[in-house]
Amino acid sequence: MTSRRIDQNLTSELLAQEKRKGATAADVVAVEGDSASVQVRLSAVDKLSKAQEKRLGLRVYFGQRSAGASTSDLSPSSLDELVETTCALAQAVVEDPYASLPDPAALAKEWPDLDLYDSQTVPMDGMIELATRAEKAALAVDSRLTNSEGADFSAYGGRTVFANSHGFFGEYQGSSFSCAVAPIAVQNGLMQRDYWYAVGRKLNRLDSPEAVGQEAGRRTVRRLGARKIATCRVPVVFEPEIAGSFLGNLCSAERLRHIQGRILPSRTTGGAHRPRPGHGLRRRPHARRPGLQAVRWGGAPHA
Amino acid sequence: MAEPKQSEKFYLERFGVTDRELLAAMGRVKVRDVDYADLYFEHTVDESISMEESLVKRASKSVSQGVGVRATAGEKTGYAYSDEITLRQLEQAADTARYIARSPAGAGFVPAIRVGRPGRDLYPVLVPATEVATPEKVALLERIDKVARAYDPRIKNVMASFTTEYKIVLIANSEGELVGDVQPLSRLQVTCIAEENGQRQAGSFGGGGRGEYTFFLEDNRWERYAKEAARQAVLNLKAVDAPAGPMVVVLGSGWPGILLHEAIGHGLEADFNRKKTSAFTDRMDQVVASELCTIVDDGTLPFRRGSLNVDDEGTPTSRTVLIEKGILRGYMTDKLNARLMGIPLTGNGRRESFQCIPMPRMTNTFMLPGESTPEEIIHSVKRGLYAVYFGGGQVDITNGKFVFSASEAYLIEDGRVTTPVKGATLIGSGPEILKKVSMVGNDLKLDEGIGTCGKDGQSVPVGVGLPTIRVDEITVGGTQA
Repeated sequence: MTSRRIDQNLTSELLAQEKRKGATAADVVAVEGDSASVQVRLSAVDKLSKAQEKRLGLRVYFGQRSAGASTSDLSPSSLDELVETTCALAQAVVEDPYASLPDPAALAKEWPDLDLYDSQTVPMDGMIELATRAEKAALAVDSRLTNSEGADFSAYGGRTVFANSHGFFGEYQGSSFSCAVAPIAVQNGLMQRDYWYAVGRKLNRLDSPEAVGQEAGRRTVRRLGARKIATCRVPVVFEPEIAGSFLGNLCSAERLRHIQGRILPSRTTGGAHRPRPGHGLRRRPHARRPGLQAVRWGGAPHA
Repeated sequence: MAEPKQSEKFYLERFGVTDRELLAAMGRVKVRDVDYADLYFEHTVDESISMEESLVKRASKSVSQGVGVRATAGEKTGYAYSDEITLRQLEQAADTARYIARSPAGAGFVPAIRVGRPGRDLYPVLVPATEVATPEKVALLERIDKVARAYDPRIKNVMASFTTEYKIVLIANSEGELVGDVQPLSRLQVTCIAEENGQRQAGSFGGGGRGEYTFFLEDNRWERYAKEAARQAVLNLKAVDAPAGPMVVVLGSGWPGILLHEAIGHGLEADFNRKKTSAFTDRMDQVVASELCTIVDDGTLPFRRGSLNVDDEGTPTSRTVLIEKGILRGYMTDKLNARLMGIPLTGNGRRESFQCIPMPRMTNTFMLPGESTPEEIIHSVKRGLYAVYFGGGQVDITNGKFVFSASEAYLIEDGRVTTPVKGATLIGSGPEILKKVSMVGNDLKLDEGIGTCGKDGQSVPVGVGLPTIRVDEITVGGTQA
C-alpha cells in the first residue's frame, strides 16, 4: 500500500472528512523524518542505527467532546479508519467545558523563521569518528577511567506539519544532533559512572567531541571515593543540570495542583496524538538509569 | 474479534509480505561477515481512556506499524527500521543493517524458513480489550469514581485510566526461524486524592496483564483497585514523617519485589556483565545473598504482565534461576550476549518496539517463598520499618546503588505494626542488601501487573514478586533526623 504524502492536500482532505462525519472542529499534526545514530564502545563500533519515520495525529471535537488518535500507517485505507476511530472515540467521552481549539483570532498569521534546521548530514563513518573522539577524550582524562558504556552520536532531520479547521496551516523543518559519552572509573574494585552530552540543532554549533568527552571524564572521576554521610539538615547546592530538572517537577506539580484545586487545567495534548520522536530525538541516551516504575495516572502512554 | 494465532500465514498476510520477499531481504542482510540477522514486523494498536474530575473526557488511540532489520557481526549491531513495510524499504534497511559488517553486497546464505513457534499460548484472548466498545470502558471508570468517593468523604478527587494495547509481531531470523505472536496487554490504574485540614495526600493502585477486559470485572478487581487507592490516600493523611537512618526493614509481599528488580535484576542482565559494567561482573557461583534467597526470572506465567510466549527475538521465554540459596547462578540473555559470552539463551531479548534494538531485559522477577509466617517476621522486629507499597525506584548498575520510595509504610515497634509513615526512601547496595535478608515468608505474591521497566530509553512491561521478608539493615532516608 502506498503511503500518502504529507502536505496541505492531505491535511485539508482529512479535516473535510471529519467535518462530513459531524465534527465541529479538528486539527491534524504530522511529522516525517530521518534519523541515524552510532554507538562506539572502547573505540570499537557497537551499534549503528538508521530510521525513516512518518506519523500523523488527528484530534476532533464534537462540540465539547474531543479525542485524539494517531498512526504511522499513512495508507489511504488506514487514514480512513483513523478518521472513523477518532470520531467514534470523541463521541464516547463526556463533555469537557474547557475543550476547544484556540480562538481563531489567536492563531498566528505569520511567524519568524527560528532557523531550526540544518541540512548538513554526517555520513555513518563521520559519526563513528566523532563518537570515537569523544570517548577517547573522556578516557584520557584520568588513568582510572578504564571502562565505558560507550559514546553515541546521533542526527535527526525532519519536518512537522500542523493544520486545523480554522484554516491554519503551517510547517517547519527541524534538525537535531547529539553527542554523549558515559565513561566508567574504577578504584579499589569499585566502579563509578557518569555521563555528559551536547545537543543542538546545528552541527557546527555543537560542542566538540573532545569537550564533551573531557567533561564526561571529569564528572565520572569526581565520583570516586564517595563516602556515606550521616543523616543531617544542611544547605544543598544544585548543579544547573539537576536544578533544571526541578522545573519539570514543578511544572507537573503545578498541573496536579490545578487539578486538585479545581482550577482550569492547562490544555495538554494527549500522548497518542503527539507523534513519537525517533531515536534522533532521544536527547540524552545515557541520562537515565535503568529503573522500574509503577505507572501512575498520567504516566507513560504504555499500557 | 481476535485473529487466530495458529498459522504463520496469518502473520505474513497481516504484514503483506511473502515467504519469498522475507528470504530475499534476509539474503540481502545476511552477507558473509554477518553472524546473525533478523526482521521484526510489528503492528500495535494502543487505546487510552482517562478520567479526572469525575469526567471521562480524554480518549486516544494510536496505531504503530513497521519493521526493524538487524544484523550483528561480532559485538557490533547494525539496525534500521521503517514505518513502511514495502520491499524497497526492507531492502534499504537490510543494506543499512549489513553495513556494520563491512561486507560486500551479494546474496547471503539463508536456510529455508521453518516455523519456530512454541506449542503453548500463555495468553489466549478471544476478544482483545481494544475491541471492547469504548462506552463500556467509560462506564467502568465512572463506577470507579463513585466507589472511591464513597469510600471516605475525605476523598476529594479520583483519577483513573484504562490503557490497553494489542500487538501483533512476526520475527524471521537468519537461522531460518519464523515466529509470530499476538500480545495483548491492559492496565487499569486509580489515583485518589484525600484532603483534610488543608492537607492533601495521594494513594494509587492498579493492575492488569495480558488477559481480556473481563479480567477487571472478575472478583470485582476494579472495585478493589478503587478502594485500595482510596484507603492509601486516607491512610497517608495521618501518616507521620519517616524516620531516617539504618534500620530493620520488613518488606511486604508482592509489589515490594521491586527491590529484587533494582537491587539484583538489572545487575544480572547479560549485557552489563559482558561489558563488565555491572557490580555483579565475574561473581558467578559466588555468594551474593543470604542462603534463604532463591530468585528467578520467569517469562512463562500465564496472563502475567511480564510474560511472553517468545521474546522479541523469537526465543521461547523460560524460567531462569538467577540466585539459588544465595549463590549467583545465571544471567538473563538475548542472542547477541548469549553467543558472545558462551552462556545459555534464556529468552530475555526484548525491545520496546520495531524502532528499538533488543537487549537483555527482565520478565517476571521474584523470590521463592520461605518458611516464616508474615506474623513471625513482624513479631521479630523490635524497632523498624514495614514497607508495603512503593512508587518506583532506580539503580546505578556499576556500583549497585539503588533507591526506591515507599508510598505505604508503617513503623514496627516491639513486634507490632503501629503508625503509618510517609516519605520513606530506601537506599542500599544491590550486592550487599540480599546478604542481610534474615527471614523469608511463606506468602509469595506477584504484583498486580503495573510495572514498566526503563533501560536505555526503552520501556517494557515487567512483573515482580516477593514473599514478606526481613532485611536486617537498610538505610531509610526520611525527614525525622
